[in-house]
Amino acid sequence: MAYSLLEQHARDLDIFLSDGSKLIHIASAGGALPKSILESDVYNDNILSSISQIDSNLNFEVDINPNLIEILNLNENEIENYIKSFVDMASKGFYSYDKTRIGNFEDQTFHLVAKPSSPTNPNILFETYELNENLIISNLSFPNDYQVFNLSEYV
Amino acid sequence: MTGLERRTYKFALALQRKKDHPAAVIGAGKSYFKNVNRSGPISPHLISSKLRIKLLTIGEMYAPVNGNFLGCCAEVNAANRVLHKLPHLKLYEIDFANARRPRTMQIIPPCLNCKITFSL
Repeated sequence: MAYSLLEQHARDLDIFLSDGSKLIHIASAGGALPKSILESDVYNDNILSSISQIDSNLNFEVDINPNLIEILNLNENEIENYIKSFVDMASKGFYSYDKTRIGNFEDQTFHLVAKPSSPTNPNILFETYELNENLIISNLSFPNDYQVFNLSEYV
Repeated sequence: MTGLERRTYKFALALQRKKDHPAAVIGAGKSYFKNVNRSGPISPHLISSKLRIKLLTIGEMYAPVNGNFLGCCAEVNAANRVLHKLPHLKLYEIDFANARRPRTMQIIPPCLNCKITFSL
């Protein structure tokens, strides 16, 4: 079953995909998802459970977007709480992205929050987290820089 | 920070620690009764008639109206609990904390439907 509109509105979903060179995690923040990833509900739940259950030795150093204060209009005290979930994903090897304008359901603006400091080998991550061929592969390489972008142009 | 704000913040923080991520949570209340609740479609069997009537003046329940889904906000769920406990209350008399996103603890501004419904 695909994510319903009400489910997309009510939940801050964790979406997983790959762009061929890296594994990607996206937090939906209760916003609308692009059509191409609506059918990913079953494997997203499986990946999330797999990531939290598998006791892997993978623990990457993490780089955090230095522009978060400007992009999100947060103060320095708020950043610590903001980044927790994304740093957790990046330490497991995922490039972790978030919706920029929360509260605006249709808006598709996203930004990179945290990423592994050194390049990761997707094949090792596929094996470690027991990912399968159902994982959605985007046609374009996701942005590595720290600027905002339109998600619907990438998936 | 008011008591309602503190309660909402603690509830959101507890969800963040459990990695349980609704889109939003919010506290609502009046005098002694307070409730913190999460986003999601309110059950048609549980919604108070006062709240349902007001929402129906804006549009169709659970349908997209003004860029959001009517009857699915955390505000509606929290306010409904308050109205069940204090049925004499008018919608504009309900106090709200800031809505928060548990994953990041960001404050979420109220949508237009909630502004109209509760005169925010």
